[in-house]
Amino acid sequence: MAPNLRLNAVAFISPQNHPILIRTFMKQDETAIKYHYIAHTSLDVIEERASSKSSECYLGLLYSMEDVAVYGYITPLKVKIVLAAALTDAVARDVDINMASRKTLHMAYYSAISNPFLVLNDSSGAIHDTFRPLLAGSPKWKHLRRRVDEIARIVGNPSDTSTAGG
Amino acid sequence: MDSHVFASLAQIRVLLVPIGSISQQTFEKYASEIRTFDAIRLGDIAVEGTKDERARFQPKPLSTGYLHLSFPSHPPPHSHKALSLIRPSHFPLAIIGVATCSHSEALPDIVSQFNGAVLDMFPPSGMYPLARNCFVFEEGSSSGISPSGQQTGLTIFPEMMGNRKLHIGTLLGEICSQIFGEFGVLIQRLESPIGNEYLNASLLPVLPLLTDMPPSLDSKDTLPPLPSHNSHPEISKSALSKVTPVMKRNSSLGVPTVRKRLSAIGAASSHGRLFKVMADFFLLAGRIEDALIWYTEAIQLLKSPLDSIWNASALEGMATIPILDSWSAGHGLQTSTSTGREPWSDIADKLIQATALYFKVPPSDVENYQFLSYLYCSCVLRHTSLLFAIWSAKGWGPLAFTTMLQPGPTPYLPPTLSHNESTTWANLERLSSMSGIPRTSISSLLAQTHGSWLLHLGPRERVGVLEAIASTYSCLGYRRKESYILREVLGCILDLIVCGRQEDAHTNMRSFGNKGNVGIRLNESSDGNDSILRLLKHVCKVLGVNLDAIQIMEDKSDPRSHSEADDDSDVYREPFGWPELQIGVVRESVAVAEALPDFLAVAQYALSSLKTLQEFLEPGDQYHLYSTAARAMQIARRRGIMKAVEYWSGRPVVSIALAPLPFIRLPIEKPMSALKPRSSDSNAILKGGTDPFLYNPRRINATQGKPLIVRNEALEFIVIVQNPYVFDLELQSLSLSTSGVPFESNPTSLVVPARSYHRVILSGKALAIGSLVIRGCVVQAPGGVPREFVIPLATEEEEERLTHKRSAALCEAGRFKYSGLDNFPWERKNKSRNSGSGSSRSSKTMLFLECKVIPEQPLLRIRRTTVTHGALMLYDGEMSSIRITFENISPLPIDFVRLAFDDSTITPAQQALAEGELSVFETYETEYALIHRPVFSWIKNDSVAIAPGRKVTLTINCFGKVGCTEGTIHASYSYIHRNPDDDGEEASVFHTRQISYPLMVTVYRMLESHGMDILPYPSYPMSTDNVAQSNSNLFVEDNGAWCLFSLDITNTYGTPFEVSIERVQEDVPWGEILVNVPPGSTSRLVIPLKKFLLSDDHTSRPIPTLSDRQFVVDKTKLSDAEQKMQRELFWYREELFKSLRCQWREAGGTRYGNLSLRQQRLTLTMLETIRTERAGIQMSFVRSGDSTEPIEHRAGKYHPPCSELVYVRIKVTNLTSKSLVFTLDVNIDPREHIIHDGILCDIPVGRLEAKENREVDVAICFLCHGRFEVLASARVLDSSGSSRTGSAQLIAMVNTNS
Repeated sequence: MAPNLRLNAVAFISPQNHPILIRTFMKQDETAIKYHYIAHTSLDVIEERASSKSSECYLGLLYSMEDVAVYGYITPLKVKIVLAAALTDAVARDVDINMASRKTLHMAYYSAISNPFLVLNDSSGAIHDTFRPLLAGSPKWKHLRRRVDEIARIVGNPSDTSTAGG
Repeated sequence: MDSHVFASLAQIRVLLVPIGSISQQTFEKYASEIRTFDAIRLGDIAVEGTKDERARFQPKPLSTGYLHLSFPSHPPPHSHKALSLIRPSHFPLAIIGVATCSHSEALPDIVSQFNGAVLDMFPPSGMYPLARNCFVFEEGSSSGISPSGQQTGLTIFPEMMGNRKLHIGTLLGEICSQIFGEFGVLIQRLESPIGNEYLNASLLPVLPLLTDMPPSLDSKDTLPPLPSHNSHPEISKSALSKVTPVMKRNSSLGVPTVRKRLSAIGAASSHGRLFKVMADFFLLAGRIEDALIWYTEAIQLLKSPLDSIWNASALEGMATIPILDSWSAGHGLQTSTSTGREPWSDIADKLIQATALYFKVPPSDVENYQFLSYLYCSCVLRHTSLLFAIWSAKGWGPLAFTTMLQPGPTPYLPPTLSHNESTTWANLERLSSMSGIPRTSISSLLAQTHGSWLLHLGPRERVGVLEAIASTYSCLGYRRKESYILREVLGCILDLIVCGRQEDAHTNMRSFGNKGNVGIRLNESSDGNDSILRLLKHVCKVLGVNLDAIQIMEDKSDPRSHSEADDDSDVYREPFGWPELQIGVVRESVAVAEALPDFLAVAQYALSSLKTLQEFLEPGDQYHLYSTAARAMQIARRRGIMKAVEYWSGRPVVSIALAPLPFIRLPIEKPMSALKPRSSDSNAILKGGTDPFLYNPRRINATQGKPLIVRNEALEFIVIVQNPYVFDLELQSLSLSTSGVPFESNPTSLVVPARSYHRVILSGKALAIGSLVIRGCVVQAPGGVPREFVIPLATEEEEERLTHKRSAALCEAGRFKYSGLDNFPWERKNKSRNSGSGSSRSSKTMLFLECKVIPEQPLLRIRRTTVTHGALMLYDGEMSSIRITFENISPLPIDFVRLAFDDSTITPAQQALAEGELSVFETYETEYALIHRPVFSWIKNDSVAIAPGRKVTLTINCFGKVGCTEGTIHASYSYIHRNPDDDGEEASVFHTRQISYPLMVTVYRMLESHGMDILPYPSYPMSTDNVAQSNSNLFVEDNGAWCLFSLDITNTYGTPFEVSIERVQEDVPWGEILVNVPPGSTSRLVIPLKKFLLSDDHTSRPIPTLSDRQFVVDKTKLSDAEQKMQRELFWYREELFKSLRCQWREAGGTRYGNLSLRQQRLTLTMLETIRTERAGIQMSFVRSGDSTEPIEHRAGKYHPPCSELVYVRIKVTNLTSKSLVFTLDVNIDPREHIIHDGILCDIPVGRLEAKENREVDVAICFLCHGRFEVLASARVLDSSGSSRTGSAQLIAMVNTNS
């Protein structure tokens, strides 16, 4: 039986440690900043892990705090994906599922940046006109956000995964 | 404060308290002396007391162990009383007062103060402290202090004591021994059944005061203790040989009242807790073996009915023991340990077990949550510190044990991490690999404390725990986590501050009472604020916010001191960090600083955030930060803080430009040589100031020269300031920063509207002659320090430099060698500056706006003119004059005035000339109009001088020129001949100012002249006696060659005009024709003109150009003959116009003017007519033979006889100045009625010299009566063929009747 993995938040963090997209799947919005902090503090551990064993992308459980378990994944180009999952009693996680979900998240990011119309560095010229939008979740990542939402939905519903994945 | 040392369970806490008026320094000095005793050999403890129960915890003689001391500086809060049995090591077991004293009279005071302090810190209801003493250090007393009254608990250290340290050690030993004795007493009380019941009464039991205990116990207490072995666990005799617990089984002796109270609990409780307390005491007493035994027993007992807290606590205690063991064993030298498992795994297991037990405590009373959480957290921290100590000590070894036992003054910073590069990645990884403990395991342990447990902790403990977590994270190199925790620490501290304030407020209300409307301001203590602010800055720094971006400076600092700090604020800045978090932390830090309150810090933080996070901040936040900062600065000012923040809002000044001076004030530099007379003045007006060179390098210099400004005259600078923020930016002062000659300017204050560029005008005055350099602007925000912003001139180099910088920043933007926290933007800036500064700095020479200050100049104004409404109405060709009165309104005289004029006809004419498409003839006409008929002119007068305050009137002649719509009168003036001692050397230049007077000009065309014609003057002989005719203008006396000039004049205007044409030919009588031309009618004016002849030399000259234009290529390709013709026409026309003067006059008015004939064209026929013939012919009839009777000549007609031979005598005169050959043709009509002799055509006359004449006779005979006409014409015989040059006519009336 597939464990009911409930994702609380997913964070994509750029190689320069800027937030790319932070998506929380909690109902109330005021906890969003908490996941910002979780993603931010997990960088400490990611830095340690990533530097020690460079070949492995999946960093495993980074730490668990209060009610969330934080898992990390780093792409070869040092884009970090941080997953905050609800810490339930089912501590022993199926690594494969986690791997898979992380692979899908990586793929989601990959396909998002493959979009030829994506402007990665919106030029400095436009900055002075208007406010720079907050980095995390700027509108250019709309598609990525949609995909991530979908992944979270599928992961959250074990019936779907069990029927689809067998 | 509490330090969560691993071995805290084994440490006897001795609280050091300053007593009396001891300075902090002195206290620290003595306290540190005392603190050096962190471990005391058991053998050094003097065993005192012989009482049995007191002797139980005393060290055995010759024992080798140690007891460990720690010296906290603060007592635990009163609320911790509940822990007093379960965690005795949490409380100071002894208290030592430290005091200084100079004379013995003060000793009772000290004693009472000490007792008061102890009472204040430890309520009498508590069990602790168990020992107390007051160390009085003698200071500065001449006579030694003698403990006169022999106060108890007072130890006096004479100043001269040599081995004070040794003495302190001995005293500490005594104190410890006293404590151990008290331990015995305590245990004895607990051993009693009632004591045991108390011990088991609740989760966290408290032993009541002795007086609250049932009185029977007191009486029983005095009984010698009965050894009881039956309920005692099986303990080896050796271990219990001396310290066999003596438990009194006197439950049956219980007093009824007590029995009632305890009935609900159950009479016989397990002794697990008692054993645990005993084990704790043994541990504290340094008797490890005993402690181990009792712990084992306690755990056994506590398991069966699970008493998880006590069980866990006992486990903790057990876990401490191996470390103590190892420490004491390996204090000298530690050899290798067992290789199988990691040596600390046992300890870790115990601690994990304990943690789990704490974790699973069944929910009980709410008031216990605080202590449960505390126990849990300290257990986790104990576990963490175990791993951390091993990790930081590079493995299991003496260093680790020392860290765990005697952490020294910096408990969280082990020596391996206290050097500078401790947090580098390599160092941390090395520690991990050497110790075999990954950092994550430590951090994940730590993470256990974080959570809901913290919420239940008391604020003080929470701060302590969080502090411990944060320090561990920091040492682990987890800086983000550290800052995350530190934020919570700050939150706790602020909570405490707020609570403390409220309490204060309450107490103040009570103490001061209600005093009506008297405001009470308390002196707030700002101790510790700095530390909080430092924490804040640290947190913000980790998140990438530099709260020090704006520095606090002395108020009176030099604005230029940091002129080059960051002049590249417009350069692209790479975003750094996590904006969401940054905004949050910035808000927090401002709020924290506000709450402290530290107003300068509030302003600094708010403004720093505004500066660094401007792009991300929402408008509301921006506004809030700004208003907060402004408010804080105001308050700071009000409170007399003399510091200020530096200028913050980026680069406010965009550009500075010198406002162009008003035209009348604009000085123009001219070389002195311009004053010398020049040969031709006409060139300028024809050329129109056009430059013959397409590229003139000098012109660029001329335009880019320094602007001229006049000394002591106000000048204005236009400064563009920008405000990128969403609020209105207030600038307290904005002034110019100049160098060079002294400059007087008043700073202005202004408010720049939100998100806009704003234009400010700064005015000032240069006070000396020379060069004035405007470096930039000095800007000061309210409550800030003035700051200079250098604004270099936007030269090409400067632009290039900026572009280079910008592109370099963009180029660097994507590159990074370090990421994350190794890559703070402010550090990076320093790096790049260090690396690449050398080359860029040296090549950088900034150019600034520079002005040349010239001496004072006079100022002129137009006082009045004769022109009404600035408009001038003229008739075409009208000559009039206007007068302009100038007034000198300056204190300087004017000794040079020049007028120049401009009108709307000049420019088109100049353009037409410049285009060069005009024919030679038209060119001449245009040039003539420009030079000889200007609209305005004046008579140049070099001697015009206007004294200060005086007026002068100049007359300007005006000429009505059709097509002129407006004109301008320019007056340049100067004060040239200054007093030479104004400026030493003779100036090579002088400066003029101009004043202009524009005029609207309307020119009415009222007379149109057309149809100019020149007719031959009739050569009918005039009878001299015809008097009536002689009055006519048409009549001319001279019978020579004349012609008639006629011209039609149409008056198209509404008033009549008198038009006159005068004949002003040389050697010819003056003549005039005057016609009144009524409106709408056309009149013809006819005036005889004497024919004239121009020499060939004259007519063959080319048509002149009035300008000295070069390279005038004749574009029309004319043949020689045509060219000759054209030139003849030109010269004759010029001559014709010269000989006529056409004028008009308003009928009945005073206005007059010239009538121009220049529109009229001279045709070839006219030319022939006006040109004098070369031969003059006179004819007469002469009778043949000798007859002298003349032929009758009447009324211009001859009456020759019929049928009679007569001679026609033709006199040919050569009128030219050359000798010519003439022939003569004679034509008689009707020809058939005459007979003539010889030929009538080509009668040779022969060569005639100049002015020579010759007569030719032709014989004829009239054959009938009637009227005959005789026509003779002469021809010049030359190479070009013959042409008629002169003719004459004669009429003969042949009548026989006469």
